[in-house]
Amino acid sequence: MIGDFPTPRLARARRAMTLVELLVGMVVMLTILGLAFGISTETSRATRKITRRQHAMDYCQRALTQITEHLGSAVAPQQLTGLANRDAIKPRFESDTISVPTYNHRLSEFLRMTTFSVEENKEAEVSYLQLSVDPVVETVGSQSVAQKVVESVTGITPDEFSVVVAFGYAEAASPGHPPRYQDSWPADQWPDLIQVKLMATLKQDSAQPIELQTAVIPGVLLGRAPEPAPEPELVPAPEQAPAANPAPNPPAAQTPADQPSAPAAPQDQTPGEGA
Amino acid sequence: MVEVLVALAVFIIVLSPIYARFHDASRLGRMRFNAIQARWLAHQEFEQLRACSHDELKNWQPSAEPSSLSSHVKFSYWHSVRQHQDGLLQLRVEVAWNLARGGEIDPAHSIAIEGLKGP
Repeated sequence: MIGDFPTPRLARARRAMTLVELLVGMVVMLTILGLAFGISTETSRATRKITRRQHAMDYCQRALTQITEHLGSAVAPQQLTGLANRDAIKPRFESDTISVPTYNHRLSEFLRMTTFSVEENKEAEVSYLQLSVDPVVETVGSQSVAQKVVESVTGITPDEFSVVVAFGYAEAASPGHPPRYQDSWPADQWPDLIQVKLMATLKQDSAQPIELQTAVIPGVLLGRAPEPAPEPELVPAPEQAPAANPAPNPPAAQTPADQPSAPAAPQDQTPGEGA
Repeated sequence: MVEVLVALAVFIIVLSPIYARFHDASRLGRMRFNAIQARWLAHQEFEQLRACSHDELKNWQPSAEPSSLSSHVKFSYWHSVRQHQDGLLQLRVEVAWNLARGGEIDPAHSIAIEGLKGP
């Protein structure tokens, strides 16, 4: 330092940054910002994906709970006695639709037909499970107090994922042997086991669908419906023996059409149902 | 150069908790899904067992070795049937995933369901 003037060496040390240094600094800064932005975007995308999967998983879990609760409270038509409105009770056991008579736990005097089926949300272009409840009103006198209820299962109509359901029906196997589930079951028979498979496919992530499956014994009190009572013999009194002609036998003529390739049924037939 | 390295180190230190949190969430999500699947599969196995007749179950000796589910290979299950009082049978189904070597059950990776069956 000579007086108040800096020496040339100090002046050189305080000089501004060169263009190259600025460019290098900018490149480094941009690289770091790019990395940060990329990580942030990726994390956000992955978080949204996880959240959507969680929603679909929760939906499947609640739907399975709802389905198994309803099927667990089902009643085999063979066990219902004293019903005048028996025509309203027509179970359906199909791969994508099931309809069974159930008792409402809260309004236990009401018998109802509960149906689970797959419907389509056309706006969102996804499918979802629908629960339909048709009351079989008989025991409330002249008043019809119960109304048909149709709602989506779990009360949610999803728009981010599609749900597919597959029901399987089987009779109980021996312990240690898995039951052989079938896609459908004769309507006039009652399966020992119903398998429910749910698959939710996310619209944005169709490669990893969510699959849950379980099985339930339909009905609270029965594994098997009681054996039908033996039919009374049609042999008339001895003096009318020559006239005993068992040719007209309407139930026998009706059963082949009702049971197309029926497997060994849990209960053979149910001729006593209409009696 | 030193400043750049220091900046990068600070940057990584700041980001690592975010990444760890995200990774944990993902891992917990997978684990929860396994637990949910196992619970429903255990329910299925239990109901299939419960549907069998009482007499058959009473005389049945379940295998001690785990069996894998044909539809979900990574899950293994065990059955056990024990006599309970009043002629009841105590049924137990255990479903496990990510079995350790030697087939040992890790309680954190298994679900058990128990119930009674009457005659």
